[in-house]
Amino acid sequence: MVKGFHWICLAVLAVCCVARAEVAAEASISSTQVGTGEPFQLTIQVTSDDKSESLPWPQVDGLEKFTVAKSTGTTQSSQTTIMNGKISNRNLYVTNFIYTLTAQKPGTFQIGPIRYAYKTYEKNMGSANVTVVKQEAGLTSQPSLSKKSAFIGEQLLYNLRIIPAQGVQQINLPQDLQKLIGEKFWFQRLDKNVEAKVVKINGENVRVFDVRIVLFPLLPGKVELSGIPVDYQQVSRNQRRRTGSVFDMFDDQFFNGASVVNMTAMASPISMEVSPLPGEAPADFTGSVGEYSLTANIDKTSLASGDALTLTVTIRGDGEPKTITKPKLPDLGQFEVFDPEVSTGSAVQGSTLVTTKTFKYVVVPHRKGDYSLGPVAFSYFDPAKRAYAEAKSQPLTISVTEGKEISASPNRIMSQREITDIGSDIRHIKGGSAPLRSEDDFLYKHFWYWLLFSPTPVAFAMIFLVRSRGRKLAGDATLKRKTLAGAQLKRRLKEANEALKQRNAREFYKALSQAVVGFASDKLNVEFRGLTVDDAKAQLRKRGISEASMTEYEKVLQMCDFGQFGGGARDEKAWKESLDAADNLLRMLDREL
Amino acid sequence: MGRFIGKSIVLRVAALLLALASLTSASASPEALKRATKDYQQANAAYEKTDFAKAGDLYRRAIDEGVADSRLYFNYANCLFRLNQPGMAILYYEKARKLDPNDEDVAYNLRFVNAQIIDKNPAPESNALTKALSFAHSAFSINEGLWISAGLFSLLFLAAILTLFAGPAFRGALIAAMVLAGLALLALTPSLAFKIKEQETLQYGIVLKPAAEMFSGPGETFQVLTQVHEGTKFEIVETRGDWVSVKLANGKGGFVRLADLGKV
Repeated sequence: MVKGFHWICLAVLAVCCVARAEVAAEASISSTQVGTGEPFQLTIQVTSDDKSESLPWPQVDGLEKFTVAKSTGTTQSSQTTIMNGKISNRNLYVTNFIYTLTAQKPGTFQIGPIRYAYKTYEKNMGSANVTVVKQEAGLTSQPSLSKKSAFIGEQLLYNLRIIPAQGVQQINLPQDLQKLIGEKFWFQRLDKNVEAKVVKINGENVRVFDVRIVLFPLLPGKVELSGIPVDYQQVSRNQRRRTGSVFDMFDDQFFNGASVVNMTAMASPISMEVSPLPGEAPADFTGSVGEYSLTANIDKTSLASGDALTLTVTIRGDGEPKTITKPKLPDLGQFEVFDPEVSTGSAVQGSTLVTTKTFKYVVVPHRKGDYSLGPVAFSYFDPAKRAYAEAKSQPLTISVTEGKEISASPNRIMSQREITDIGSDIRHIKGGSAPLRSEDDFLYKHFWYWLLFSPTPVAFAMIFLVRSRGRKLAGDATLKRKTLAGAQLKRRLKEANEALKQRNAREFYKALSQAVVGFASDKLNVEFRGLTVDDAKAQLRKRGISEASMTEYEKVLQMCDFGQFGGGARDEKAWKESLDAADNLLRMLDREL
Repeated sequence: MGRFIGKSIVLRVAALLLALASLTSASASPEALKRATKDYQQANAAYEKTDFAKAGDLYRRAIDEGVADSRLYFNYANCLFRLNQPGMAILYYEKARKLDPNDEDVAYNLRFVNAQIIDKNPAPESNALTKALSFAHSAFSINEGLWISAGLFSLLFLAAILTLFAGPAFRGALIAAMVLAGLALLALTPSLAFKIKEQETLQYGIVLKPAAEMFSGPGETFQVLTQVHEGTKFEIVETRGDWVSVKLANGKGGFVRLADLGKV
C-alpha cells in the first residue's frame, strides 16, 4: 500500500508559458498505486491571467471507476518581465482543480486523456495508469433496519454497526446527516456518544460500535436510504508497499515503519416500502403513528366555584414527537378552561424513542354541583392493528361548592384565547329599506356644481373693490368731488324737475342754473359760482373745452338768468326746451371734462 | 391689450363650463329608481331564503333599469358567487368598489373570491409611501371629494372676506383658516383630478369565460401568448373591433376577444 504523499508527474507535463501564452496547465497525481477505499488526488494546475470563477473545469476521461469529489483552490502571484530594457508586471492566478478519487474495486485503470481548453488555449496532458490493489477494509459498516415496510410516521430503527479491524482510529460519521436522511425521514440519533461493545460474530467476540438512529418516514412509496460514509484512519505497520520513491526512506525513519491513511467505508444503501395511512382519519387526528397512552388527573377533586384547579393531561407515545398536539377535552360547559401550559420530553427506552407531552390546563368552575367529566382523548394510528385508535383517560369527578362570584375571584387567571376562524365565507348582502340611488351621477358633470365656486370669490372681489375705492376717495377731496359730480347733478336736476311739476319758473331755472354751474365746478374743482360768463369761459377754455360747448354754456346760463329774473318763457314747451338744452350741454361737458 | 386677454379667459371659462354641462349623464329616472328599489328589496328577501336564482334575476332586472348603486352591485355579486359564477361576481364587486371605494364588505368579498380563482395576478409591490398615498387616495369617492373641495374653496374665500372686516384679534385665526383650507385643497385636488381622469379614461375588464387565450395581436392568426382564466382582471388599453388590447397588473399585455370580457 502506498504511504505518504507522493507527487509523480504525469507523462507529459506542461512546458510552461510560451512567451505570449496567457494560460498554462499541468497535471499531477498523488499516487499511481493505491488500495481499495484509499483516496488519492489528481490535480490539474492552471496558471492564467483570469480568476478561477471564469475558468472551466478540465476534461478528464476514465473517472467512472472511481468515487469522485471535486474541489478548487486559487493563489495569486505577480510576474515581472524585463524584455529589451522594458519592465512589465502582471498578476497571475494559479488555480488547482482537485479530484479526490477513491476506487472500490481492484484493477489497473487509465485516467485520461486529460485535456484543458480555455479561450484559444488547448492542451492534452496525456494520461496515467493507476493500479488499485485489493485491500482488506480496516473497517466494516453494516446497516440494518428494524422493519422493511412501515406506515408514514411510524418509528423505525436504523442501526449502523461499525466493526473496526486492528489499526483503525478516528472513526467519524458525516456531520450533515440531514442531507443524507432528512429529505425522506424525520430522524434522531438515539445515543449521544457511541460506546464500543463486544458481540459474538461467527462464534468470535468482536468489538463493535452501534450507531442507532430512529427514523420516521415522511413520504409513501419505495424509499431508499442512502449509504452513510464512515471516515476513519488506518494505521499500518510493516505492510507498506514500496513505491520506489526516494521519500520511502524518510517515511521509515520518521514513522518507524508505520503509515496513517485516511479511509472511507461506505455503508450500502437500504430500501424499504412506506405505506400511506389507510381509511379516513378522525377529525382530531394530527398524524401521530405508533403506540400511545394518555393519563389525566386533577390537583383537587373538591373546590368552591370561582376557584381554580389544574387538569394535567400526559400523552406518551413512540410516534414522531411533534405530532402530539392538544388532546380532546370532554364537554366543560360549566367550567372556564384556559390555554394549557405545555412541556415536552423524550427518553430512550431500549431501542425506542418515547415522547411525553404534558398539558396543564387551569379550569375554573362556574357553578356549584357534582360533576363527572368524560374522558380526555387523543387520536392516533396504531400500526400494529393497522387502524385508528383513541387513547383515553379515566373519567374525572369534581365536587364544586358555593363560592365567590367568578368576576370577583382573585384566583381567576386572566389569560385569554385568540378568536380563531373555523370557516370562511363571503360577507352577507346589504339590507335596509333605503331606496336605491344613481351613484354614477357624478357632480362634476353638472353645471350647477361649478357655479357653487362663484359666489364667494365674486363677493370677495366686489367687497374688496368697494372698500378700495372708498379708501381712495376719502384721501383725495378733488377726486371725490369729481367722482360725485354725477350724483350731485342728478340731485339738482331732480330739484329742477320738481319745480317744473309745480310750474314754478323761478325755482326751475334756478335749479337748472345750479345744476350746470355746479357740474362744471365739481368736474374742474373750480368754483364757477360768482364768476362772470367771460371768466367762466376763460376757465373752460383753459381746460380745453370746445368753443361750441362754451357757446352752449353761455346760452344756457343766459336762458336761466332770463328765466329767473327777466320773466322768461312761462309755457311748458319753452321749459322743456330749456331742459333739453341744459341736458345737451351737460352731456357735452361730461364728454369733454 | 389687457382687455383682450380678459375676454379670452372669459371665453375659455365659458367654454369649459359649457363642456362640463354637456357631460351631464343621463341617470335613471325617479320612476326607474322606484321600480329598481322594489326589485332590489324582493331580491334581498329571496337571497335571505337562499333562493339565489330568483334573487339573481331580480337584481339583474334592477340593474337593467339603469341604476348604478353600490349596494345593488354588491348584493348581485354575492348572488353570482353563490351561483358559482366567480368571474361575473368579481365584475360586479369591482363595479361596486368603483362607486364606493371605502366599503369594507366589498373589499373583503373581492379578496375572498379573488383568492379562489385560478390566475394569481398580483399588483406590483408597493412601498410604505405608495401604500399611504393609495390609502389617502381611496379614502373618499369622487362625489365626496367634490363636495369637500367645494366646501374648502368656499371656506377659503369666506375667510378672506371676513379678514377684510376683522380686527387684529381675529385676523390671525382667519388667515390660519385660509392657509389650512388652501393646503387641504391643494392636497385634495391632484387625487380628485386623477380619480376623474380614471373614471373618464381608464377601463378595466374581467375574464368571464372559464379560460380565454391572449394573443400577440388582434386576431387568432397571431401567436398565443398565454391563457387567462375566469375572474382575472385587466386594464383595457383600447378596443379594436371584436378584440381588446389589455394589460395585466404585472405589466404583461396582449389581445383578448371582446366577448370573453366583462367591462367594469
